[in-house]
Amino acid sequence: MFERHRWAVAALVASMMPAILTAQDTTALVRRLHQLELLRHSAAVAVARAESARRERLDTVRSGALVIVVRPGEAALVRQASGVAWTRLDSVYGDEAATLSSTPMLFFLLGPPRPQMAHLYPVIADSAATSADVAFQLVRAASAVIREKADTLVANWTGPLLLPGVPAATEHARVYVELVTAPSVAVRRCYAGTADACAAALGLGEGDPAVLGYDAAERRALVAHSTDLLGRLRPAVDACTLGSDSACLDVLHARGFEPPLSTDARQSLVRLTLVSGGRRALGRLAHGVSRSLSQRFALAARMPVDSLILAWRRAIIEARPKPVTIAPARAWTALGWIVLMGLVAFRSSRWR
Amino acid sequence: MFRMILFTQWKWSRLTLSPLVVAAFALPVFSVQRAGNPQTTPWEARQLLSSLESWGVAYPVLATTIALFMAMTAWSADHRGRHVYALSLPIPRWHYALQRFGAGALLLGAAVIALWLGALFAAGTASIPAGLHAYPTAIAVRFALALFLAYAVFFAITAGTTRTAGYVLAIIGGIIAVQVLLETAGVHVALIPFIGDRLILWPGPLEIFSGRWMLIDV
Repeated sequence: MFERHRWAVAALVASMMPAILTAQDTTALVRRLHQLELLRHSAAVAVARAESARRERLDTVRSGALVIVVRPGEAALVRQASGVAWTRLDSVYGDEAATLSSTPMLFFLLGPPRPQMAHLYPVIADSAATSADVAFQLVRAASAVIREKADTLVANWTGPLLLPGVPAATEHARVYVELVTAPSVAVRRCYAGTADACAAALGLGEGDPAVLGYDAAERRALVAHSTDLLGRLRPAVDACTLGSDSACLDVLHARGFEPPLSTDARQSLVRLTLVSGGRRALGRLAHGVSRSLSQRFALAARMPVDSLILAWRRAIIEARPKPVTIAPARAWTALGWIVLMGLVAFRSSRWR
Repeated sequence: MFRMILFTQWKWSRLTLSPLVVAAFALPVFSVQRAGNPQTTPWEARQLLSSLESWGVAYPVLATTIALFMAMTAWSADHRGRHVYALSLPIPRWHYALQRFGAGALLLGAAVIALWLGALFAAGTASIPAGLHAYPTAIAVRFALALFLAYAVFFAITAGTTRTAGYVLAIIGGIIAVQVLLETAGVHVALIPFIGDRLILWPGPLEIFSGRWMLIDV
């Protein structure tokens, strides 16, 4: 009896094989995913409309891929702000910003009760908000949505929201300060111009990040400065501070640690990648699940990762904050103005 | 004669100039109060730089204050005496003005030296994180240039008549009035920022005041 059932199941599976193989074909999968995404978008919009009709009259404002449900009284403000917000989002995220159409947002001002709309991404602004404030809130919300859609590895590596409109010079100047002050052998070598070291400092190196980013003394200092160590790690922490590098590595692996360069530095690399890679760059970076981070950066920027990292380093070095020292030309200019002003005083006609 | 002018200007200004010279010494010393740990993390190093940047505003403000005070002191007695003393001297006006200018500039040297000594002391006693550097002489040179430039500008204004000072004020007021009128009429012309940029960006006369005034920097 059992034997007969086994053969029946085998025959059934064998008969389904062509269908399974067809379903696993990449093109078909992509097509079906696309259809699914369209259906999901339609469903989300339909739900929004249905709830709107059921509870309170609300308007829908669209700008690019932004879909914002809003009270009629606030529609003009949101319409004005959404245009600005979309321009900013599109300039940074490129084609990835188009995915926002599947996540309608619900905008409301603080004060009156929130409109009864479930399943919509809430965007809240102060009752005295200007168009610029609303645009900023929309950009923040949309950036959060895009971050949620990226896979966890990229989202965690990038850190906080990648917001448009951050002045590159300011961001790069902050990173420059890190590049000269971070207590890490990788950062010092990166400053000297080694691409591998920059990758390690950014957390993109192939290998153990604790070994690539820090030398033994730095690992020991890293553990010694940690104040949130778990109790079970106490013996390893003690061994580490006494000089055992393997204990330091155990502690760092157990509790986790950040790459030597901060999220500011990592976000600046992402921005450069998006600029280099064109409108589809973020899609390639955020959704290439089967590849390592460095491979994804290379794919997204359409250049070898070493070239990308060296270009990033060049941009950071060029953004060095201007120190207090003054060039001779500027000093001579100041002296010239001093003499000129003095001559004006000597030539004044007080008693002529 | 120059010694007498120098002596009288010192007498008129010493009560106010002395605390300002002390302030010039103290400014760099106070600005490095956060620099206490050479093992600072990059985040702490950035906080140190932010703190120094906040203190940096005080350098041009102090330079302007000292210069304004010295320029006004140089001419106040002459203005009060209706220039009778100066007119009675057997020298041309430019010669007299030059001596007044020189005496004031010499006294300003005390503030520059005080700031330089303060900066050297601060740089010597502070624990500077790896990767950052102290610039005591550079900041003193820059302070000196800003101080003498501000002094020259104020000296030129105060050396003139009340009418001259009135013209200067009228030009400044007129620019502000034109900007306000343009804004009211809906014409968005950034007149004040344009003029401000011409003044504080190179080769403008006040360029030395702009930029970072950091005793410790990258």
